[in-house]
Amino acid sequence: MRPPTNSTTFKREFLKKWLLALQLCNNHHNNNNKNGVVERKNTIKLSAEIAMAAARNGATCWSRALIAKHSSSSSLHNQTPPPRHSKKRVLRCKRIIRRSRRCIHHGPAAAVVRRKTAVLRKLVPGGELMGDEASLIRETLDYVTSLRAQIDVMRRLARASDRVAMCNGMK
Amino acid sequence: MQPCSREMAAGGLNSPTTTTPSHQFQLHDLHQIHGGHHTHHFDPSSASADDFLDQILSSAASSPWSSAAAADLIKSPWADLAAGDSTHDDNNNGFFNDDPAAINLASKFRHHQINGGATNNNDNKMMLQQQLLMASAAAAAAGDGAPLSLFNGFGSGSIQPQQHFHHPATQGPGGGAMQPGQSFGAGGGQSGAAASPGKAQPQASGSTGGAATASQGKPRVRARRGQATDPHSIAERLRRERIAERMKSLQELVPNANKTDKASMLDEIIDYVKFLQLQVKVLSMSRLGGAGAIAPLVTNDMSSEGGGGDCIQANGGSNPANGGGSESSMTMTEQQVAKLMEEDMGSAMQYLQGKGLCLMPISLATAISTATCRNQPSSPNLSVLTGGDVAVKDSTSATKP
Repeated sequence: MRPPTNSTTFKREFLKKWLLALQLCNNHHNNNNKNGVVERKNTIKLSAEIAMAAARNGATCWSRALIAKHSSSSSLHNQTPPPRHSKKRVLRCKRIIRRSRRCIHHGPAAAVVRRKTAVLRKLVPGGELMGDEASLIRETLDYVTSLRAQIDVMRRLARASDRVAMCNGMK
Repeated sequence: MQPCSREMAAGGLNSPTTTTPSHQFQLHDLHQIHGGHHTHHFDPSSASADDFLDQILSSAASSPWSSAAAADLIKSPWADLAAGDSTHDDNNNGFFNDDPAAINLASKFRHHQINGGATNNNDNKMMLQQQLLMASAAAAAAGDGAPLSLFNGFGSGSIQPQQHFHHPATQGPGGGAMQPGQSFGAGGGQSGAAASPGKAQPQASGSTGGAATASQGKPRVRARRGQATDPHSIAERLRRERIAERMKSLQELVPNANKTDKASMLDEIIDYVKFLQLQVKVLSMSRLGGAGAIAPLVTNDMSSEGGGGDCIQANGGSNPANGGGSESSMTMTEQQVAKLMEEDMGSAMQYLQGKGLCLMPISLATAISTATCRNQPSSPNLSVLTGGDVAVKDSTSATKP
């Protein structure tokens, strides 16, 4: 779905937003908690996820679902109405989708496929909201490419930081 | 652009003193930063990614989390990128290439999105998220927007109503984020409407061609269904074609792609997604610099990473105190490695290399760990190895370039 050139711009976007999100998250956490390793890991992971989803600019369902999930999480957020609201809507959405899903399945092979798509739905954020297998696969595709880009960026950053740390250590 | 970004960074950092949700600020500032960058557009640079990151981190090395460094973080790489010439390339260069076609698409799409978004009237938070998600129309969005808009323009009956089910149904913060999706769809529809008359004909011909071939391929099943409920069968066929084509593109991404079975393909996809998520988790943990969190595995992957050791490096003063959170991930990692090792040794090695780890005999691992954890009181049964401390440590330091 994504032309190859876009992966580099996506990485750049992601890096920008992730750095910013890291700073903001860290400032927020400095107000609240001490920097234990688990806290920092959560901070990094959370900010990276949000940045990844934001870098996608809401073009995909999984990114919107990630943002929705994190905007209702307690770590960053102190408004109560939206979580309830979103949960209700999500449930209603699921019911509508199940009703409207007209699928012709035949045989035990289809049951196996169905079980696996259920597992995949749980993995991909926002996967449960999609009634269509085609759109689920499309979301998965997109999610996989962006995960790979994210991992690439994070790995480069880690490598560079290690290099800097080593250089500083040598001096 | 540079002063704008600095102000925004400073503003963003000053704000958390209030109790307003920093998440909102986060998105807001992301939006603003990106809005600032967007006007300047894509810096024509090709400083290699590693140099760029080195500059970020050298400026940040002194005080990584201070606001001054934060401003520098944002300022310096972009100053460098703006000033840099595309003199040298390396294989990591693809990071910063320019893309004029994508820029055009981005500007066009942004207009569509802004027009579509102006009709929504929501509360502030949703507007902020909406603006973030819409107005920062990078090439990524545009590049996807083009095929997606065409896709919306096709407007098959089975797909469109579901999308519209989604968007009004999910309100709230998710809805604030969904609104741009809707207006995105609307904007996409607008741009796709122009394209759709042109595209609908090939699509129709494609579907009829597909129908013809499908009916020839499976005459018994198709003929019955085709006569019974025509639009349903066509929709079904379209749906299956779409699924098949997406599975094909997924196959190229996911390793070990064998086209034989949908179930096995789904298995591969699931495993790969789990693996990627685990990798993200491990990478995010390892970057903290508190590498002692992963104390059990204290080795570099020197072969593939060239000694950079992206993940798990035994730094000198590593603290072994981080049991809880790391242990759960370590057991998960070990389970994953064990599972992979059952299937294929190569994939297990690959998996570990992806995390900057490698397999090594236990004796060597204990030797290295005692060498690096000299500061901590060593247990009596490991005191035997302390004799070889110096040699081991020299070897480890020698292997780091």
